[in-house]
Amino acid sequence: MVDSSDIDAALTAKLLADTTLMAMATDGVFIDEASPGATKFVIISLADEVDVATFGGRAYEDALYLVKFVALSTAGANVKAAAARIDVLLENGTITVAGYTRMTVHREARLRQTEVDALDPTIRWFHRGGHYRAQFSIT
Amino acid sequence: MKAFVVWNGLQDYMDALRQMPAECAGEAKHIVEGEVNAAYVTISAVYGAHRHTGTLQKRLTISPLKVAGQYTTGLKLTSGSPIAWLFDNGSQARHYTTAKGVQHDTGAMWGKTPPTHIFTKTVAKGKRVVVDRIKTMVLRRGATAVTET
Repeated sequence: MVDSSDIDAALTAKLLADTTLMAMATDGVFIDEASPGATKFVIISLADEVDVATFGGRAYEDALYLVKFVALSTAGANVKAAAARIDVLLENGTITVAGYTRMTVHREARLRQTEVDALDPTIRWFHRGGHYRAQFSIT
Repeated sequence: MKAFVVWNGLQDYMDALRQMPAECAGEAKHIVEGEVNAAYVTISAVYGAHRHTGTLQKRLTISPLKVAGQYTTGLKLTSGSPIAWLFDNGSQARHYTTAKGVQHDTGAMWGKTPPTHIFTKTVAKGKRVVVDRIKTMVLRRGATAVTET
Protein backbone atom coordinates (compact mmCIF):
# COMPACT_ATOMS: atom_id res chain seq x y z
CA MET A 1 0.00 0.00 0.00
CA VAL A 2 1.44 3.36 -1.01
CA ASP A 3 1.52 6.35 1.29
CA SER A 4 0.71 9.65 -0.40
CA SER A 5 2.48 11.59 2.32
CA ASP A 6 5.71 10.03 1.06
CA ILE A 7 5.43 12.30 -1.98
CA ASP A 8 5.39 15.37 0.31
CA ALA A 9 8.33 13.92 2.21
CA ALA A 10 10.29 13.23 -0.97
CA LEU A 11 9.82 16.79 -2.17
CA THR A 12 10.96 18.09 1.20
CA ALA A 13 13.96 15.76 1.23
CA LYS A 14 14.92 16.80 -2.30
CA LEU A 15 15.15 20.44 -1.25
CA LEU A 16 16.77 19.72 2.11
CA ALA A 17 19.48 17.67 0.44
CA ASP A 18 20.65 20.56 -1.70
CA THR A 19 23.48 22.42 -0.01
CA THR A 20 23.18 25.42 -2.36
CA LEU A 21 19.54 25.98 -1.45
CA MET A 22 20.10 25.29 2.24
CA ALA A 23 22.87 27.89 2.32
CA MET A 24 20.18 30.43 1.44
CA ALA A 25 17.21 28.92 3.27
CA THR A 26 19.10 28.54 6.51
CA ASP A 27 16.01 27.91 8.63
CA GLY A 28 15.04 24.90 6.55
CA VAL A 29 12.09 23.52 4.64
CA PHE A 30 8.64 23.40 6.21
CA ILE A 31 5.25 22.00 5.34
CA ASP A 32 2.61 24.76 5.45
CA GLU A 33 4.09 26.88 8.22
CA ALA A 34 7.56 27.78 9.39
CA SER A 35 8.66 27.51 12.98
CA PRO A 36 8.52 30.68 15.12
CA GLY A 37 11.44 33.02 14.57
CA ALA A 38 12.37 31.65 11.15
CA THR A 39 13.37 34.37 8.68
CA LYS A 40 14.78 32.46 5.66
CA PHE A 41 13.02 29.27 4.70
CA VAL A 42 11.12 27.26 2.12
CA ILE A 43 7.43 26.44 2.43
CA ILE A 44 5.85 23.44 0.73
CA SER A 45 2.08 23.22 0.81
CA LEU A 46 -0.42 21.00 -0.98
CA ALA A 47 -2.73 23.33 -2.88
CA ASP A 48 -4.85 20.82 -4.74
CA GLU A 49 -4.90 17.08 -5.31
CA VAL A 50 -6.95 14.58 -7.23
CA ASP A 51 -6.59 10.83 -7.55
CA VAL A 52 -7.16 9.60 -11.08
CA ALA A 53 -8.73 6.19 -11.28
CA THR A 54 -8.73 3.54 -13.94
CA PHE A 55 -10.38 0.12 -13.93
CA GLY A 56 -11.73 0.79 -10.46
CA GLY A 57 -8.41 1.58 -8.83
CA ARG A 58 -6.12 4.54 -8.25
CA ALA A 59 -3.89 4.93 -11.30
CA TYR A 60 -2.01 8.07 -10.42
CA GLU A 61 -2.03 10.99 -8.05
CA ASP A 62 -2.12 14.48 -9.47
CA ALA A 63 -1.03 17.13 -6.99
CA LEU A 64 -0.42 20.85 -7.15
CA TYR A 65 2.14 22.09 -4.64
CA LEU A 66 2.93 25.60 -3.58
CA VAL A 67 6.70 25.77 -3.18
CA LYS A 68 8.11 29.15 -2.20
CA PHE A 69 11.12 30.73 -0.62
CA VAL A 70 10.21 33.20 2.11
CA ALA A 71 12.54 35.73 3.68
CA LEU A 72 12.32 38.71 6.01
CA SER A 73 13.67 41.83 4.31
CA THR A 74 16.28 42.39 7.01
CA ALA A 75 17.58 38.81 6.80
CA GLY A 76 19.77 39.56 3.80
CA ALA A 77 18.57 36.67 1.71
CA ASN A 78 19.01 36.34 -2.02
CA VAL A 79 15.37 35.69 -2.84
CA LYS A 80 15.88 35.58 -6.58
CA ALA A 81 18.63 32.99 -6.38
CA ALA A 82 16.74 30.84 -3.89
CA ALA A 83 13.58 30.72 -6.02
CA ALA A 84 15.67 29.93 -9.09
CA ARG A 85 17.40 27.12 -7.23
CA ILE A 86 14.05 25.61 -6.21
CA ASP A 87 13.05 25.64 -9.86
CA VAL A 88 16.29 23.96 -10.94
CA LEU A 89 15.71 21.19 -8.40
CA LEU A 90 12.03 20.58 -9.10
CA GLU A 91 11.47 21.26 -12.80
CA ASN A 92 11.71 17.77 -14.30
CA GLY A 93 13.78 16.84 -11.28
CA THR A 94 14.54 13.32 -10.18
CA ILE A 95 12.30 12.51 -7.22
CA THR A 96 12.09 8.96 -5.95
CA VAL A 97 9.09 7.83 -3.92
CA ALA A 98 8.61 4.24 -2.73
CA GLY A 99 5.66 2.62 -4.49
CA TYR A 100 5.35 5.32 -7.12
CA THR A 101 6.77 6.18 -10.52
CA ARG A 102 7.28 9.85 -11.24
CA MET A 103 5.28 10.98 -14.27
CA THR A 104 6.05 14.68 -14.14
CA VAL A 105 7.09 17.48 -11.86
CA HIS A 106 6.93 20.88 -13.44
CA ARG A 107 5.98 24.44 -12.64
CA GLU A 108 2.55 25.66 -13.70
CA ALA A 109 2.71 29.22 -12.44
CA ARG A 110 5.27 31.59 -11.02
CA LEU A 111 4.47 33.30 -7.73
CA ARG A 112 5.98 36.44 -6.30
CA GLN A 113 4.67 38.71 -3.59
CA THR A 114 6.04 41.32 -1.22
CA GLU A 115 4.15 41.40 2.04
CA VAL A 116 4.22 44.77 3.76
CA ASP A 117 3.19 44.97 7.37
CA ALA A 118 0.05 47.04 7.85
CA LEU A 119 1.38 48.97 10.84
CA ASP A 120 5.13 48.93 10.38
CA PRO A 121 6.02 49.27 6.69
CA THR A 122 9.67 48.62 7.42
CA ILE A 123 8.70 44.99 8.04
CA ARG A 124 8.54 43.20 4.73
CA TRP A 125 8.46 39.57 3.78
CA PHE A 126 9.44 38.39 0.35
CA HIS A 127 7.68 35.34 -1.11
CA ARG A 128 8.90 33.82 -4.35
CA GLY A 129 8.38 30.43 -5.95
CA GLY A 130 5.66 28.69 -7.87
CA HIS A 131 2.88 26.19 -8.19
CA TYR A 132 4.39 22.84 -9.14
CA ARG A 133 2.38 20.05 -10.72
CA ALA A 134 3.51 16.64 -9.47
CA GLN A 135 2.04 13.47 -10.90
CA PHE A 136 3.05 10.06 -9.60
CA SER A 137 1.63 6.76 -10.80
CA ILE A 138 1.17 3.76 -8.56
CA THR A 139 3.67 1.04 -9.42
CA MET B 1 -32.09 2.44 -65.43
CA LYS B 2 -31.24 5.02 -62.85
CA ALA B 3 -30.63 3.88 -59.31
CA PHE B 4 -31.08 6.13 -56.34
CA VAL B 5 -31.44 5.96 -52.61
CA VAL B 6 -33.68 8.11 -50.48
CA TRP B 7 -32.54 8.72 -46.90
CA ASN B 8 -35.54 9.71 -44.95
CA GLY B 9 -34.60 12.08 -42.20
CA LEU B 10 -31.25 13.05 -43.69
CA GLN B 11 -32.31 16.67 -43.91
CA ASP B 12 -33.37 16.58 -40.28
CA TYR B 13 -30.00 15.07 -39.38
CA MET B 14 -28.14 17.75 -41.33
CA ASP B 15 -30.21 20.45 -39.67
CA ALA B 16 -29.47 18.94 -36.27
CA LEU B 17 -25.75 18.93 -37.04
CA ARG B 18 -25.88 22.58 -38.03
CA GLN B 19 -27.69 23.45 -34.82
CA MET B 20 -25.37 21.46 -32.61
CA PRO B 21 -22.60 24.04 -32.07
CA ALA B 22 -25.10 26.65 -30.91
CA GLU B 23 -26.91 24.19 -28.66
CA CYS B 24 -23.61 22.92 -27.25
CA ALA B 25 -22.52 26.48 -26.57
CA GLY B 26 -25.80 27.18 -24.80
CA GLU B 27 -25.51 24.12 -22.58
CA ALA B 28 -21.80 24.76 -21.95
CA LYS B 29 -22.67 28.28 -20.84
CA HIS B 30 -25.02 26.90 -18.19
CA ILE B 31 -22.35 24.44 -17.03
CA VAL B 32 -19.72 27.16 -16.72
CA GLU B 33 -22.11 29.54 -14.97
CA GLY B 34 -23.13 26.86 -12.50
CA GLU B 35 -19.59 25.95 -11.55
CA VAL B 36 -18.34 29.55 -11.35
CA ASN B 37 -21.28 30.40 -9.09
CA ALA B 38 -20.58 27.34 -6.95
CA ALA B 39 -16.91 28.35 -6.65
CA TYR B 40 -17.99 31.87 -5.69
CA VAL B 41 -20.24 30.56 -2.93
CA THR B 42 -17.54 28.23 -1.57
CA ILE B 43 -14.79 30.86 -1.54
CA SER B 44 -17.06 33.58 -0.22
CA ALA B 45 -18.11 31.36 2.70
CA VAL B 46 -14.47 30.81 3.72
CA TYR B 47 -13.67 34.51 3.33
CA GLY B 48 -16.73 35.29 5.42
CA ALA B 49 -15.59 32.94 8.18
CA HIS B 50 -12.34 34.94 8.42
CA ARG B 51 -14.02 38.32 8.21
CA HIS B 52 -12.12 41.30 9.60
CA THR B 53 -12.80 44.29 7.37
CA GLY B 54 -14.85 42.34 4.83
CA THR B 55 -12.65 43.33 1.88
CA LEU B 56 -11.89 39.74 0.91
CA GLN B 57 -15.57 38.98 0.54
CA LYS B 58 -16.53 42.33 -0.99
CA ARG B 59 -13.90 42.12 -3.72
CA LEU B 60 -14.73 38.59 -4.80
CA THR B 61 -16.47 39.20 -8.10
CA ILE B 62 -17.76 37.43 -11.20
CA SER B 63 -17.55 39.24 -14.51
CA PRO B 64 -18.11 38.24 -18.16
CA LEU B 65 -14.93 37.11 -19.89
CA LYS B 66 -14.46 38.72 -23.27
CA VAL B 67 -13.75 35.90 -25.67
CA ALA B 68 -13.73 35.86 -29.43
CA GLY B 69 -15.84 33.45 -31.42
CA GLN B 70 -19.48 32.63 -31.89
CA TYR B 71 -19.49 29.47 -29.81
CA THR B 72 -17.35 30.49 -26.87
CA THR B 73 -18.36 31.36 -23.37
CA GLY B 74 -16.54 32.48 -20.28
CA LEU B 75 -16.82 34.02 -16.85
CA LYS B 76 -14.05 35.47 -14.74
CA LEU B 77 -13.95 34.92 -10.98
CA THR B 78 -11.67 37.49 -9.38
CA SER B 79 -10.46 37.83 -5.83
CA GLY B 80 -9.41 41.46 -5.82
CA SER B 81 -8.50 42.11 -2.20
CA PRO B 82 -4.91 43.22 -1.57
CA ILE B 83 -4.57 40.33 0.86
CA ALA B 84 -6.13 37.69 -1.40
CA TRP B 85 -2.71 36.37 -2.46
CA LEU B 86 -1.54 36.12 1.13
CA PHE B 87 -4.76 34.45 2.23
CA ASP B 88 -4.31 31.79 -0.43
CA ASN B 89 -0.55 31.32 -0.25
CA GLY B 90 0.17 32.11 3.39
CA SER B 91 1.57 35.13 5.18
CA GLN B 92 4.11 35.83 7.88
CA ALA B 93 3.84 37.89 11.03
CA ARG B 94 1.46 40.78 10.61
CA HIS B 95 0.36 43.47 13.00
CA TYR B 96 -3.18 44.58 13.52
CA THR B 97 -5.32 46.54 15.93
CA THR B 98 -8.70 45.37 17.13
CA ALA B 99 -11.82 47.55 17.13
CA LYS B 100 -11.17 48.25 20.81
CA GLY B 101 -7.68 49.49 20.02
CA VAL B 102 -5.79 46.48 21.28
CA GLN B 103 -2.64 45.95 19.24
CA HIS B 104 -1.62 42.46 18.24
CA ASP B 105 1.90 42.33 16.93
CA THR B 106 2.07 38.82 15.54
CA GLY B 107 -0.18 36.72 13.40
CA ALA B 108 -2.71 37.76 10.84
CA MET B 109 -6.21 38.77 11.74
CA TRP B 110 -7.45 35.23 11.17
CA GLY B 111 -4.88 33.66 13.50
CA LYS B 112 -2.08 31.49 12.20
CA THR B 113 -1.33 31.90 8.55
CA PRO B 114 -0.53 28.75 6.67
CA PRO B 115 -1.66 28.80 3.04
CA THR B 116 -5.40 28.19 2.72
CA HIS B 117 -5.33 27.60 -1.07
CA ILE B 118 -9.07 28.21 -0.98
CA PHE B 119 -9.16 30.09 -4.27
CA THR B 120 -6.69 27.84 -6.08
CA LYS B 121 -8.21 24.54 -5.03
CA THR B 122 -11.82 25.62 -5.47
CA VAL B 123 -11.18 26.92 -8.97
CA ALA B 124 -9.15 23.81 -9.86
CA LYS B 125 -11.97 21.57 -8.71
CA GLY B 126 -14.52 23.65 -10.61
CA LYS B 127 -12.43 23.44 -13.75
CA ARG B 128 -12.28 19.65 -13.48
CA VAL B 129 -16.06 19.48 -13.10
CA VAL B 130 -16.60 21.78 -16.08
CA VAL B 131 -14.31 19.69 -18.29
CA ASP B 132 -16.01 16.44 -17.22
CA ARG B 133 -19.50 17.79 -17.77
CA ILE B 134 -18.67 19.25 -21.16
CA LYS B 135 -17.08 15.95 -22.20
CA THR B 136 -20.22 14.13 -21.11
CA MET B 137 -22.36 16.62 -23.00
CA VAL B 138 -20.41 16.24 -26.23
CA LEU B 139 -20.49 12.44 -25.96
CA ARG B 140 -24.20 12.51 -25.25
CA ARG B 141 -24.69 14.57 -28.40
CA GLY B 142 -23.02 11.96 -30.54
CA ALA B 143 -19.27 12.40 -30.38
CA THR B 144 -17.45 9.06 -30.36
CA ALA B 145 -14.36 10.34 -28.55
CA VAL B 146 -13.24 13.52 -26.81
CA THR B 147 -9.57 14.39 -26.58
CA GLU B 148 -8.34 16.96 -24.09
CA THR B 149 -5.48 19.13 -25.29
